[in-house]
Amino acid sequence: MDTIIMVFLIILVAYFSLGLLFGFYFIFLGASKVDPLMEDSKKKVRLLLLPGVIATWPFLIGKLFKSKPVD
Amino acid sequence: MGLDYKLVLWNKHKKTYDKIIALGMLLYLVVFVALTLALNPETTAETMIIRAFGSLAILMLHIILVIGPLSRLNPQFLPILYNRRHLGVSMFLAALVHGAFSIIQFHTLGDVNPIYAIITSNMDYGSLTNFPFQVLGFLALLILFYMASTSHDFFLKNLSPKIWKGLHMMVYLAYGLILMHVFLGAFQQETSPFTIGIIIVGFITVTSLHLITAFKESKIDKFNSEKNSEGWLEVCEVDEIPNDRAKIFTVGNERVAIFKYEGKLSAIHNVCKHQGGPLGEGKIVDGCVTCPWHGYQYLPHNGQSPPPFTEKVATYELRLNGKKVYINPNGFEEGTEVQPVTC
Amino acid sequence: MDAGLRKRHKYIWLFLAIVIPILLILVIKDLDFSQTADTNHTTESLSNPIDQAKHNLMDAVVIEKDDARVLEMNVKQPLKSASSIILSLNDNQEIGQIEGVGTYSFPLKSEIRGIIIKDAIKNQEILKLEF
Repeated sequence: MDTIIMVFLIILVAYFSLGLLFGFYFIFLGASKVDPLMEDSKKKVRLLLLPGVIATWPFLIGKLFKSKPVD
Repeated sequence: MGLDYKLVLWNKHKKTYDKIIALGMLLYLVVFVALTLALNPETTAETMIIRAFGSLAILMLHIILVIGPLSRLNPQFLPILYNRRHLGVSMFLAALVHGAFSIIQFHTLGDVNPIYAIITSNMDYGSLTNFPFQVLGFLALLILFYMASTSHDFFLKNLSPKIWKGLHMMVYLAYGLILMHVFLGAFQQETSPFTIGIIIVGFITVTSLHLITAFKESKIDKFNSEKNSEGWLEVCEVDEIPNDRAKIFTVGNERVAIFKYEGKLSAIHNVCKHQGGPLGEGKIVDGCVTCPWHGYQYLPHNGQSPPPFTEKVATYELRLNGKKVYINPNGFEEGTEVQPVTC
Repeated sequence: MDAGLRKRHKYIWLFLAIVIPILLILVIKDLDFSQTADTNHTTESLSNPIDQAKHNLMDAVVIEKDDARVLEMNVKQPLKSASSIILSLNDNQEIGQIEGVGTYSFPLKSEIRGIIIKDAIKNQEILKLEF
């Protein structure tokens, strides 16, 4: 049981740390590549999106790779 | 709808609703504290905060869960549905206060990581009655965090509506976890019949409302009209559809809204691309079908949102024989232009 | 909502409507109400104490009543913990729980050497009383 709990906690911590790293890159740089509406969005809006990006980064990272570079 | 994302999409009504939410929450907390002080003056401040915010979050979750079925049963509840997102985020904040204070009070005094302590302080995972109820609360809070943090149109669009809806349907899992969290917590700590009674009444209310609505709706989904020799469905008479409004029919497995406007008839898929609102319950405003939930608009003859917006829904072919309206159950690609039928 | 989503909602609620009551019944069935049912505050006189221990937080007395041993507790000061349980010092078996200032009585199944008051949530010992 102890090992299961440790593995669960390590995954949880790793998931959210990676999410935090990706999150800062994404909200200020990456997001505009995925969604043109982000280009004109204010800083406050980007920060509001940060927790959600941290939570759902595996979905967004795939989308970022698939997106074509904006000219 | 906007060309950049806004912090919060506020309008006059939403501001009013938000004020009601904030005042309601405050009032509940004040009443809770006053009652606790009157009935149980020995309670410490921390315990009071934990219980006040925990019960507030549960109350709000129940309200959130009944808004959906209530607005299906009675359209008068629809305005509350538009504001459900803010209610959800406020509920998460109340649950977060409850969770944070619980962790501080129960788990920060030890020398281990508080999150580790939640999961390991009670290792009775094999028992049902003594199951570590705090773990259930922690998992529910994690789900609520996912939902609250993605409660913005940016995520609806970029996670895709399918993933987003799936994520937000985890509220039902969270609800189950929270119910067990309260049952077990109440049983293990104080065997309080009052708490348990209230939760059971809440559960019965929420579940029966959802089931009543579900069975009512699936009756509509099963409705099958007569097909003529060419496979077209006879749906209704022209006069049954009010002007600038629609009537909704089940065609195959999908619902289609047939709109009457400017002496013409057009049929589009009933489901809004934004959050799945029932387009056929909306009106024609400025020549556009307007979703009753959040005001997304579509042109009736091609199912497209007027530029610069890009949402598209499927369109259907109609035919008029005397007064009788027929529909081709095989819809077109989303956004396909269809000549409206004049009536 | 489209037809698929409506169906999913229906099945989820049918599932909850069946599973939650079953879990609740199992939890209640597993629960031993006999001890907690006796936590009524009593003011019975402590006629013939067998064992007793005193502390500034609470007093504990074991008495003989109707051929059975009963632990009587008098909690004098409010406890800081949200939920406190009483365990037997012999085998760590739960005897009952206390909620605040007041007098409690719990039936005892066997002789005890003393009691431990424990915070049920933090799993921490608050007080140990030996007879």
